[in-house]
Amino acid sequence: MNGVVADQFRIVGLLVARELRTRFSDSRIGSAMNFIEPALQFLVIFLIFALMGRRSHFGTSVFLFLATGFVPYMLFASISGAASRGIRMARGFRHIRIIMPLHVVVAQGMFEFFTHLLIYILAFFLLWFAGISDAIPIYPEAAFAALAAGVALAFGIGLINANVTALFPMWRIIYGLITRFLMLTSGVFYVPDFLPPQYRWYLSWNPLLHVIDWFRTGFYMTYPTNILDRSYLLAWVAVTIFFGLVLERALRRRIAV
Amino acid sequence: MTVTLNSVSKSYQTPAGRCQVLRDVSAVFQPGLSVGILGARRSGKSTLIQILTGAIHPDVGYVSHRSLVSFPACSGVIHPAMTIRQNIAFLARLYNLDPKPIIQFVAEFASLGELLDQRLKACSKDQRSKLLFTISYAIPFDIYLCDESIVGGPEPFRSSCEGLVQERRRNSGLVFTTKSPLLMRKFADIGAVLIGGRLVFFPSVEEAIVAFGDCADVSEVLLDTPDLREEEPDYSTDII
Repeated sequence: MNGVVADQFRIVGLLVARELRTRFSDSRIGSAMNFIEPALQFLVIFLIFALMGRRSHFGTSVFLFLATGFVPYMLFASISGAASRGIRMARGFRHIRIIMPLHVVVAQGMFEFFTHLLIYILAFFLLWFAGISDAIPIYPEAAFAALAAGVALAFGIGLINANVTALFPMWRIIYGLITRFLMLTSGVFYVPDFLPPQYRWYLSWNPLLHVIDWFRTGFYMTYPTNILDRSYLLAWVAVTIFFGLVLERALRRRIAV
Repeated sequence: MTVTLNSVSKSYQTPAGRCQVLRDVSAVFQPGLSVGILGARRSGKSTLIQILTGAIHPDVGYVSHRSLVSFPACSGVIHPAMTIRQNIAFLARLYNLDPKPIIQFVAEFASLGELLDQRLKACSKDQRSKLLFTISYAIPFDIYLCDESIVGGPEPFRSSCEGLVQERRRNSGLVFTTKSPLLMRKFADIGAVLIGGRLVFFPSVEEAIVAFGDCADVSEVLLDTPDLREEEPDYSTDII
């Protein structure tokens, strides 16, 4: 049994390494864009806030406040987006019996996870270096637990996406729009608890909002968390992963043609 | 160490309605036994092989794999953005094998030379088929699968590749589809005929050939056998 598990890890690991090799040799500008694009996106958001002269919604640094929202958001969006390619990409490996679509989905997400995490840890260190002492989480376990939940959610949603994309390629574009919309509704720019109650109720259904709220509790001692419901988030994680796996099994006959 | 098909059926939606390609096919393939499957054009040969490689899932029935099956020769397993060495190393590691001896074997057998550290596009057409055939036999599988083309490439590579397949046949299984009685006599231990979506086994190769000759369109068989190199699929289109 041990060998079977080791096989799965080996196959996913090889696919991640292969992704690193092929994506970076296709075009260097293209692979650099992988990192530059989220950084630019963040800079634009920050500049808008800075130019508007907005004070931070919470804490002393507006930069850190935005970053603590943007990092879990981007991690989620990039992983769930990349995983959506998985099943379509797996067609390239259809002749190789031991590579399953699920391996490719997980490998795509993992690749995105590793590259983004590296950049973000670096970014927080830079913030800390620049004098924002809050950039090192006071409760690292809360920050990491929140990220882990966010990543798990991203894999669950990504797996569902991968199945839907395999049937309707248009879904990737629609999902791209949905993630943009999520940026506005997940509390990247504001503290959800400070919103009027009626908006708060609608937003509380968004699982990503809970990820960001949870993540911020790792950085701010007194962050208000009335809205935060960890078990609701974990239920989302469990249900999406389960549903994604069921979909993969149910649709594989139709997709593999 | 077998691959078993359990009442496998597969149909496709075509403009003319649903087309039943395989009906209730059951079979056991095992190492050490070569099975040649004769079938006319569009009889479901490729579908059968693709079900064995896992590329296609049957509508009904299931496939149980208790052995390692190969990727058919010349399928798109080479990534164009990686060097040939990197590609072979990937495949070797995939099956938990030390890449070094396999890279060395492929390089020597397909006489790659400097091409080893180039990408696939640097290869000529002949080099390409030499490489692809060698790679698919370089890894020790329990059962090798071939769709139409068992060996290929220019002489003298073709002959040495034939030798390699014969050697592999001693310890591993071989399952191939073909229209050619010639290939059946050369590579098969037992024969089967795929007709009307059903797979009929015969105890000897000759009986299968006779049965196939009776039921298939004879002119087609005669037309298709002489030049086997025509059968090689176009492997340039398949890109991972």
